[in-house]
Amino acid sequence: MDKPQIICHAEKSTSLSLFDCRWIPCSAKFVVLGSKPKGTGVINVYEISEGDVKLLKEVEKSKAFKCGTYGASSLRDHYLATGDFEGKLNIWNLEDTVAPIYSASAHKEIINSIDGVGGQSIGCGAPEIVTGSRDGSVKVWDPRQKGKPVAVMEPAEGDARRDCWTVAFGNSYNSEERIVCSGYDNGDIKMFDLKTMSLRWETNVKNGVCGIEFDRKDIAMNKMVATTLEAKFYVFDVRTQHPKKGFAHLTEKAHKSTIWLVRHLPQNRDIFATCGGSGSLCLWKYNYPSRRVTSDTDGDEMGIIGTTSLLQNTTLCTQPVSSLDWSPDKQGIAVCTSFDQTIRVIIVTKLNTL
Amino acid sequence: MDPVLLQKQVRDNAEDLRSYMQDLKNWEADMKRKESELQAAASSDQALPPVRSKIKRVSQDQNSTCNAENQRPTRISGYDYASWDKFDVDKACEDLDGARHQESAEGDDDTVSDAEEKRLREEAIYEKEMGNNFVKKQKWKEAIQCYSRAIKCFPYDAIFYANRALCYLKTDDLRSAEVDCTTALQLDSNYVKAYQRRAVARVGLGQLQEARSDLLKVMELEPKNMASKAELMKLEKKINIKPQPKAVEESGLAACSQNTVTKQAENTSSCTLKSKKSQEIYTRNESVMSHKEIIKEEEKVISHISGKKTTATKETEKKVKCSTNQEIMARQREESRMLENMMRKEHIWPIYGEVKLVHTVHKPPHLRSKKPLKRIDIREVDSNSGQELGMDTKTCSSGATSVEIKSPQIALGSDTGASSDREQNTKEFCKSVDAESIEVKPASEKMNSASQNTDIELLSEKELEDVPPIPNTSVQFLIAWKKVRTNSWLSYHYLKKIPGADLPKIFQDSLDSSTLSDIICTIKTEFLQFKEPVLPYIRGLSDVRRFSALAMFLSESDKKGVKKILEYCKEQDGYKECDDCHTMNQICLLPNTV
Repeated sequence: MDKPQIICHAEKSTSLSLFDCRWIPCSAKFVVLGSKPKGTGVINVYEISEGDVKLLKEVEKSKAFKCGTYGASSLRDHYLATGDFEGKLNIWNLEDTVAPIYSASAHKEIINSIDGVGGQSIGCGAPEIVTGSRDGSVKVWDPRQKGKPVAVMEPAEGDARRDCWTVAFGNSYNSEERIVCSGYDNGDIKMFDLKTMSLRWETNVKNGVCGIEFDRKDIAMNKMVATTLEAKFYVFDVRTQHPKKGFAHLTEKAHKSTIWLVRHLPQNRDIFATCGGSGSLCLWKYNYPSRRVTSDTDGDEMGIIGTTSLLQNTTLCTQPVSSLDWSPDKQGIAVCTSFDQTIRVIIVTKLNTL
Repeated sequence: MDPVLLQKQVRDNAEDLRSYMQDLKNWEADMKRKESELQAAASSDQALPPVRSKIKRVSQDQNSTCNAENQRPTRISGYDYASWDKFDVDKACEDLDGARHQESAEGDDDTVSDAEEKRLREEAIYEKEMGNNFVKKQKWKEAIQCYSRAIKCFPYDAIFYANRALCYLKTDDLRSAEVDCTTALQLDSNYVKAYQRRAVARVGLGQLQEARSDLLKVMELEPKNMASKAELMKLEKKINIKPQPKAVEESGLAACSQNTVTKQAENTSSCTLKSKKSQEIYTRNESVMSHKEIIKEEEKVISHISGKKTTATKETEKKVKCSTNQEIMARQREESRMLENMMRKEHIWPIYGEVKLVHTVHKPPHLRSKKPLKRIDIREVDSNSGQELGMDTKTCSSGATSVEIKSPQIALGSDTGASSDREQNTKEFCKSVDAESIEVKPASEKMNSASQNTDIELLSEKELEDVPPIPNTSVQFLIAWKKVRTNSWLSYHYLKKIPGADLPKIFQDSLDSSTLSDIICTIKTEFLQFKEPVLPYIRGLSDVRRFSALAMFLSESDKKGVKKILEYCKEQDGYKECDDCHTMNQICLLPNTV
């Protein structure tokens, strides 16, 4: 009974297809991204106040928005970077949304996933945004450089282009080091090193990879979670890379349906939530092994994976939960959207006692 | 569960939630206040590293211009007057200007003309001087502002970043300092001070390994930098928890001077004659040797070039006195600069990080070394391996395996003379076994190929349990035999289990020639080796019905085998009993008659 409880604090039904939601840093407000039935894109800004969710602002644009991030914007500016169904990357100042402050035709097809780094965490390198698209390419953008990506990772000419479903930044612990990890519909996971501009590691987990996240972006990479179709997720210990075996990992079954995404708690990196296709939400804790590194017979260092324990699970609705975002400012509060066109603010108690 | 406890926990949970809600309310209010504050606050200037692609472009441009500089003098030779006549100087100048314009046009959104660029650079330098003055007065904040302005004017000078990094260090803004140093190093990768400062910043940030690599780089660039050396020692002590593999340390030391490396290598190589890991060091030694050779080569080339140059200039000075003179001078200067570069390169040749770069050397065949390549002695490190080898050959005594064991030793030779007696013994043993097996030969080949498994010596009693039970019928025998026949050891034990006299009963009249030849083969190789009595088997076999017919179809090798077995029988048991098995004797006679 002293497990954390997951409680739905507020629910808000909308007339939109909701794809993503993000807390606005340093505020009690969040944005949701989606599309209207006629296909136009919408950015809504909500504020929570006394158990209710109030709509503050609605912005409508011609193309439906798929994803967004505040990762590359400074705390003061909080500019929202979005990817839309047409493959365009835009950065918006939500105070003035007449025109985006940055715009690039990033991809030929829908941008499935976006992630940003370098904005909020102080002095950890350049602000950069990474986008992953159905056209199979992963591109890294710097808001200070107009119209051109600073790095492109795509299959060679003539190779099969797999649908890139998810991208994530990590390992950005000083101004040089940075890693981009991407997951594809055929189960490929690729890890690119932006410092050396090379493919650092890749693997295949058999099922399409829906979500990837490092437990922290701004530390020497520690662990990474990848969620897949067919109700499985993988936890990789990315601290130690063995030259042949790669990273140690564990597999966990959960949700009995596609696991759409994983989000680590900003206040405790060993706790993360996974969202399932059946509207369920699971809260996990990663337990480190007594020793994290061992060496094999050749003397190469090899990681040892720990275990995960399920802290709590709950079913929020009957439709897939498409997005979830933990508040960076207040521990235990999160916002999530699902395909039943509803925004939910959830509260998780007792996180500080774990 | 205790209902009272349950009730209490439910109440606790509710209480938790209520307090959380209260907390949340406070937080909401708090956030609103903070947000408005943040919007009012002035922007804090924070150093950001440059855009990723821009760094690359700058360095590429530098490279390409360098290349162009290097290439230009070699493009048309000084004696090639015809082509110099055709050379359009104006056009070349125009091209050059055009390229520069293009460069500045792509470079930034706001295109800057040449004159303005010059002005901006001067302004930047002025700002830097101001900054330096502030630094002398230890007014760090003002200095940072000056350097920031300088960077704004001219962002491609590493010095500005490095100086600002120093100021950040003094004001304890380690992150920014680290970023600035990185930027400076991206602009100039041999900037020692930037490495030093970044190391300090990284130590402050707790990134010890990175700091260490920075300091190692400093040592590489400036081996006599005592301050950094001391710093490095301190840092190494700090890291201490996890000492790096030796190779890294050695490479670090190697940075200090070439001589020490060679000495070290010599030392180690002399030591290792005693030690067992000789192979590794041999290769290292060799690499050092080749390294030296390369350097010598380069020296030769350089002296060659310089020699050529002087003669060339003399000649040209004689012949040409007017217009081209200046060009030649310029080219000479260029060349000497290149030479200098090369010389300098030689000084900092050996290490890039932890990797030794070994460049390919192209030598014409007549200059190549006539010395034979060094042999590398590869030995089993395991001390009881020799014994195992012996065991191995004894037990399976198969020609193929013994050859296998022998061949590496032959290939390696024993030029060190250090190989142990035991090994030599085994070698001799192998040879003898080999000879024997050649004598015995062809029939066994089929078996050998199947029974090469070198793990035979590991076959313990436990595995003997795998030997099938004694058969009652030919079908049982054949099934068991199929399992066993690939392993000579097992098949030997299986046959031994069966009493020879029972063979006719088991086979009745269903013995076929291939099984027969297998059995003969096993008896010949295994039984004879272990001096087991074979007479009952011979008798049993010859008593099997239709044996005489089968014997007709035996292959030449099998017949030889039978002959050998019979000779062995005679040795052991005397002629008398052997005379009993007429049919067998007949077989032996057959080859002569057929």
